[in-house]
Amino acid sequence: MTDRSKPSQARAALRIAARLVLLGVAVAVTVPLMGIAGGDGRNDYYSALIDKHVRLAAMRSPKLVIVGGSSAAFGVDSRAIEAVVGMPVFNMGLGADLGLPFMLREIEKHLAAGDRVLLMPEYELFQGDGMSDAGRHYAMSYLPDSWDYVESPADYVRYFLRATVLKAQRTVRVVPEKLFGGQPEKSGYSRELFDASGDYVGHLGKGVQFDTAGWDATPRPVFELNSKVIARLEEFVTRVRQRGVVVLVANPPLYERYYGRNIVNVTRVDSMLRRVAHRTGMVVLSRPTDFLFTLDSMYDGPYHLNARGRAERTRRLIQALRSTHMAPASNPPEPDAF
Amino acid sequence: MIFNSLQYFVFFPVVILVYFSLPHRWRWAWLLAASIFFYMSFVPIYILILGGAIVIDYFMGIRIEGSSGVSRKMWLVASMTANVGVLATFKYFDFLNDSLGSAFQAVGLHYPVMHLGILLPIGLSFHTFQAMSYTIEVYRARQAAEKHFGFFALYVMFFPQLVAGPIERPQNLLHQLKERHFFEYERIAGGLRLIAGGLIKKIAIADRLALYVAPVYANPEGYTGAPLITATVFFAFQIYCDFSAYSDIAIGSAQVLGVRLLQNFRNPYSSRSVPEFWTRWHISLSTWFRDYIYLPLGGNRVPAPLWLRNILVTFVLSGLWHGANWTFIAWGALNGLFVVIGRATADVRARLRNATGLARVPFLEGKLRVVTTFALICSAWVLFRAESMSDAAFIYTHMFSNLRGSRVALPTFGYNAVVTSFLLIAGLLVAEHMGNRVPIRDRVAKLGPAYRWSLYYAACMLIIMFGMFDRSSPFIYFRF
Repeated sequence: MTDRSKPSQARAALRIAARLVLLGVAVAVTVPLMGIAGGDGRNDYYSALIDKHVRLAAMRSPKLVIVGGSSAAFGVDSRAIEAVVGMPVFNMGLGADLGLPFMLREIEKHLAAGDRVLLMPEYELFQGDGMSDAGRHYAMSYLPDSWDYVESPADYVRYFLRATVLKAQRTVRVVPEKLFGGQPEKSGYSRELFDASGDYVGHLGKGVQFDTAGWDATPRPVFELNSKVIARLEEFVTRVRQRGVVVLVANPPLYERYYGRNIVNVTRVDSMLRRVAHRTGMVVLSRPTDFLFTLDSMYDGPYHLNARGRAERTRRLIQALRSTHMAPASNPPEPDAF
Repeated sequence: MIFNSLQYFVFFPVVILVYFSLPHRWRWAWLLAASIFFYMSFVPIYILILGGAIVIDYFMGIRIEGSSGVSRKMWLVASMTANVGVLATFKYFDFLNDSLGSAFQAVGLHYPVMHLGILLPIGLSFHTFQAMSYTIEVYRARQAAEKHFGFFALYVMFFPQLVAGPIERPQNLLHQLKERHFFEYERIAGGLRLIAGGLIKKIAIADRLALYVAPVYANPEGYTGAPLITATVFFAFQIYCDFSAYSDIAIGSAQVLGVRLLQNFRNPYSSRSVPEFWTRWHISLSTWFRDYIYLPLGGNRVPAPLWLRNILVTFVLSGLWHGANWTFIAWGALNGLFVVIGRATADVRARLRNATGLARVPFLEGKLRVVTTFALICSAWVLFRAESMSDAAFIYTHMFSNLRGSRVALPTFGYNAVVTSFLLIAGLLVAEHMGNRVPIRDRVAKLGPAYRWSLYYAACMLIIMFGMFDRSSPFIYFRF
């Protein structure tokens, strides 16, 4: 018969607690080890953040810094813009799942009077319940500085745990990738494929790899705007303008049929950006329809341009910059079209 | 506060610690307070609706017990009216209203009643049915009315099964809530094993499959062939892993506190017929409908046309219980039709089995029946998951077209993710098969400590390595 005395119950409770703690310790030790076993990920796409930070820190003012997710990384020829704006241009675009507050904080300390910031935020960056922030977790595993951007102790714990788990999960993914080959939609994404201006060039010379099934006809659910992200944007613009930095905003490039299916969200984000611009003095360069592209300009997703789209996008961006007198009216050199 | 959240993993140990530290006479109050806190962590204001229903059913129970004849029946009807009234208001009003509006519009008439847009209180269908089973059992004199308001409130609100079941009968739960429970190692370890199994199913399998199913079912017109079939099969396992995971965590949590809840799933996808499936799927709800709807209508001890009516009424009501939408009603009706057609064709199928010689190979026959049943159940899940009847119709008419030209991978769900998902499903099926005679958790309990703890360790690693932590979704049955 089970001993139900109080000391016996206390012993049982301690026994279970001790074993669970031991189990927890074993798991807590193994998970980071699994992450290490998968390599340090120093050639991953997101580890390009390390180089971007080093290069941005080395740049003198005045300069133009491009901020956005992967649409900025894939869809801009920074050298062509540099040739017409008369100042160095650096593209910090990497992945939307870094989140806009992270993107703004990472450049802020490198800005000085005379600098320009060209924001090209993807519309989903303002999604109410937030995007997957997996990119940020990876970034935090590469870049010790990024821990400074955590806003609360609870977030610190959350990001630490998630970054550790993501690194371990990356190791597990290596197995099927070795057995069955890399995921088609992510093949070729690598740190090495960014150029010195921060532009991603790994996709240039490759054709359209965009499987539009599921994108063409999918009406996107209407999302609420994220007030926290908007507040961070306003605070950023207000702070850097006080330092003499000009902030410009342009719409991201978008596959035209996806735009058709996402028009409510796009319009709401665009209107919100105009209101922010009105309040803060941010300069709006475009409308959403200025940067719509057909399938032959796309690479592998609704925001990713191929070489042809990138050249066209850069040309239109330069035109928009001219409207703010940032670029002279003379003919710019042809953007790289590969 | 959902079971797979960090909050629950703080909340639950605190509940256990205080529960076993308190003298027995105060434990019910602690559990009730914890249950109120748990429920209010979703939408606090809904506690008023739940509280109101508890007060009504508490007094109705006492009234029913204290009366006889017509007045006894009247009190039962009053109780049922109150419970169904709450359900009808919060769950079905807008659906009925919109359906009537459409019907009026179709014949060119003006329909003035507005859509109210009422939000459904979480778990309403579950705790309402649990409260109804109490008053019915008291009416049938199979359960004494509970005089202690606190215990009655705890019976309806017991947090492990409050928002998504299992739907308990008072005979099983009420007395357990009053018993003194001890901190017993084996029982608590068993409960924790169930919780771990549930977490694997929810985080590593259901949430992963949801990432494939959601975009396809959000826009079925964007797909033909393979993705529609894959999404439907994935949904069959998503809903099973999601709901059975909730039940496992609920049963495991209750077991840690010393309360044994009803088993809610018994390897349903190994069923050899649709009726058998319904004895293995959401058992607490199936038996509720059997005991309180199907049998009172006459069950199968009536002429064939009436039996047909009884089956269809029961299944349609079951469909309606799941949601206020024509898709759920059609899902219930289709399952009812499967049962009816199965019975009508039983003789023909038996002759066919004999004629083809299949009856002489029982293993093969059994497997064929399992596959056929799974296919039928999957075809019904299309209605359950589709956003509208027109979406369901599109899926039915396009799931076998362009099979060669369509790609299984989605833009947001690559081939490797599809392969990993199928491997996890295969692992689940193997584990379920192994647990057919002796549940896996009982097998694990009998292992030596080294093997046992190695398995616990492996389970934790499985959750961490394959878990979807960034894109976890709420339990599907919460919205019922």
